[in-house]
Amino acid sequence: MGITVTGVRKTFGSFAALHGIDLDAQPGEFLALLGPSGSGKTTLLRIIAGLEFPDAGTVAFDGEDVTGRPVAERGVGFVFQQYALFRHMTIADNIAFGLTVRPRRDRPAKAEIARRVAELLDLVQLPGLGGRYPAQLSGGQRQRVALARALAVEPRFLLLDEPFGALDAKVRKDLRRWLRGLHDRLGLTSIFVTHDQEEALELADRVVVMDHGVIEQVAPPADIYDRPASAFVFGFVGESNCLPVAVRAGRAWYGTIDLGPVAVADGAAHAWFRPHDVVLADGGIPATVLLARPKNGLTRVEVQVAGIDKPFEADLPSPAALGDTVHLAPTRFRLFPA
Amino acid sequence: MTRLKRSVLPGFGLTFGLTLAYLSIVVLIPLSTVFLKSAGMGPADFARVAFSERAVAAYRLSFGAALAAAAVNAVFGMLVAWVLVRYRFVGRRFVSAIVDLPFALPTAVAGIALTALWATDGWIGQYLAPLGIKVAYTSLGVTIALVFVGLPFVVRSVEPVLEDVGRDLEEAAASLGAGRFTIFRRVILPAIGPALLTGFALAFARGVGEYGSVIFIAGNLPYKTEIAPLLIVTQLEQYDYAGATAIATVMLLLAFAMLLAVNLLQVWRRRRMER
Amino acid sequence: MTRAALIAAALAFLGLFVLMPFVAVFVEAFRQGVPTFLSALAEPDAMAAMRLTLLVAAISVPANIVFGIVAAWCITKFEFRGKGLLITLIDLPFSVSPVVAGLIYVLLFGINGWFGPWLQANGVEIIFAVPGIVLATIFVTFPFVARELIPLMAEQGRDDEEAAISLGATGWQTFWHVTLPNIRWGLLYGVLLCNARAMGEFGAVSVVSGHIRGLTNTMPLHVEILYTEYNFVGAFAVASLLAVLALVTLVVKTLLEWRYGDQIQGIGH
Repeated sequence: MGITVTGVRKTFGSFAALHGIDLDAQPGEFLALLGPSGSGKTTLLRIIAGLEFPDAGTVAFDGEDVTGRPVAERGVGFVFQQYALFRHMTIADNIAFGLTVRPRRDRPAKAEIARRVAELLDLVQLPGLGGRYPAQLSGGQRQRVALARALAVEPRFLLLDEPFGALDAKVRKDLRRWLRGLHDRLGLTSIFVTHDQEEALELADRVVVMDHGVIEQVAPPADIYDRPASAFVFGFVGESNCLPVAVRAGRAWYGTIDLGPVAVADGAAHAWFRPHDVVLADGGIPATVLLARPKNGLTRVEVQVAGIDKPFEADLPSPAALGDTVHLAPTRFRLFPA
Repeated sequence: MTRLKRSVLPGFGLTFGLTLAYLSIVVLIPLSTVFLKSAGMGPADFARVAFSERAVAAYRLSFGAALAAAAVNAVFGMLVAWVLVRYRFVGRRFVSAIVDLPFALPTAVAGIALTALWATDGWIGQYLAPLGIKVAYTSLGVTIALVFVGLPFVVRSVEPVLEDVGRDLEEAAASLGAGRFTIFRRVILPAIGPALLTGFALAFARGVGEYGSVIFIAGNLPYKTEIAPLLIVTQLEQYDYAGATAIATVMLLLAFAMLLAVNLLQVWRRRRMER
Repeated sequence: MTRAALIAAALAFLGLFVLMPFVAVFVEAFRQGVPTFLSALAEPDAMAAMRLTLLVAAISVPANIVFGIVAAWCITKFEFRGKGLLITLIDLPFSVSPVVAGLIYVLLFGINGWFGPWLQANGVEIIFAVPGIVLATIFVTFPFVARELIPLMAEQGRDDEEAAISLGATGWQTFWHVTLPNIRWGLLYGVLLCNARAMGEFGAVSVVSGHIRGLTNTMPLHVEILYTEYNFVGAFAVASLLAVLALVTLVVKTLLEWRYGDQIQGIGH
């Protein structure tokens, strides 16, 4: 039930946008597609909507195959990144569009359409603005109009492409909370695309992390952060450091420094850890302090470890001076193949 | 030309088919007649009529005058574009509209008006005649008519690029100690160079094929002041279809070469912009 | 002062080479007073030329509007191989000499042309008749609307249309209610330029017209006939009407650029 995507592939010319995607969204779920640009997240959303068609694979809604069905017959509401409001129509006409273009026999009466528009304007908290034009609204208001327009046709699923991408930081935060509240009230299965991890982690029931056309991990926000399934997810979500290590006899070694027990086979690996999972320890990894500044009552330091290009970041309890040598040890880390 | 992907928007088959059909009927099939007829003539016959002494004289005049006019327009067109982009003065919008006059004014109207100005008893011609300068009915007159029709091509090609170059680039160069001439030569000219060349090529191409504005002021003497398009008309009037077609073929090939050159210039421009 | 000198030089050049010919048209037209001017215009052949010019524009401009919209939709809303070539081919008539544009129709439909014998046998007149004039005019004005719309619609993208389709609109509804309002000013701009050229075309029409007074003479051709007959006032009188057309075109064009510049792409680009 819900939305089921099976084995979807898509190429544009010689560029493979999606390599075999399997995904499902449960009824009533709020799902985020998170990834860097070029990861294929928008293509996947457009395939689910019926705005693009896959080269292989299927899309099913509530168990029914809709792969070949055009967007208008899928019962989805799609909110475009730049909203795609019709700028020569009033807000009310924009919202009513999906109803007024219906064939006469399916078209609600004028009064009924007006009632629905007023209802939707209330829902998106823009009562009385129906007579304005898109150009007279702020970015956040336009975003809500686009949402109302998509909801007017009573879709089964709501799909949003970078819903907050074009907004400034403050508006974005407010609108985020509001959208989550709206989703909970309407109970519509919704999928949104974002490149902003904070947005995905705060808003979604589950986050789908994508990179280079494949799904790296699907998990609730807490798991994405605490138990990343791949080096990519670890590096993409949250702050991270990466240390090359060797695994010998069930322990991870950085040179002669023992990082602790691990449950993987012997060989080379990368240890990934968060800045807040680092402590000062005698016999830890020696590093030179490049930069130090206060952060949340701790000291955020940037340190150079000999032989590693990218400086590490760590949150330490005590102040450090530039040029100091400190010894660091990660308290928690995850190993991924080198 | 095949479709690569299924699209959500409807009408590809219909619009593509209509576009191709209309294009073929109005442009491609009629144009092909020129080449087919030329091909049917055999190389020797073709060369004889296409490069007869009279035809060569006509090409020389058409190409020479078009080249001279395009050169004049390159200089003054750039000047006009510069003034329009860089200076704010009363009547600027009016001046900008004037630049498009040659696009809007029918060529025959321009032709008789230019003749009225530059004939030996004309508004301007009467002052030049005592100096021994004859404009109308000489190749100089042809050039002046082509300056008129070609000017907007240069101005409208250079203007947007000049806007892009912006004053900050010049100020940056000045802050580095460059003199004004150096700034122009080393900063501005290279930036607008491709656009200027494009405008020059467009003005030249238009000039070579121009007919209406030229024939009134040209004098139309064979071997002397007869432009190539007029020679085509003359031969058609004498029912010499082969002669007309052969000359038309030469002009079409030149036009296609210019089109190719302009397209290459634009590719070059885009590459430079991306750099 | 460089600024003043450069402005003066540019104005002098424009005044001498562009503005003066324009002014000369009107001065010459009224050289022998208003009554002579008016009687030159009221002359039956002149009136016939005006009617023919309007007729030719009334056929060729709508034909190219429809084509321009269709071609722009095809090129901007879909991805296909050979798109660049198609755009170049649409621009092709701009680089063909008007005289050659006339010649090709003579080669097709003239008495010795491909279809000449058949046309003659069936009593259809194209060359030295109105259909030939219309065809030649369509050829020379072919690219105007399309080349105005293609960059505009390419910039506007497909989002609006996709939104309309996703809300259940049909292709026609999408075009009428969404695309057409989006491109109306750009379209008007292209139509304006197309019309100016259609009414003013001389070379191409001259080749196919046959110059039959009162029948196949458009206004520009009538100007030529009067001029070669040394009826200068008559020639300039008819020419002044065409100059007014140019003036109106320029004024409306400038107004459009000023008022709706952001909704018209490719102004001089």
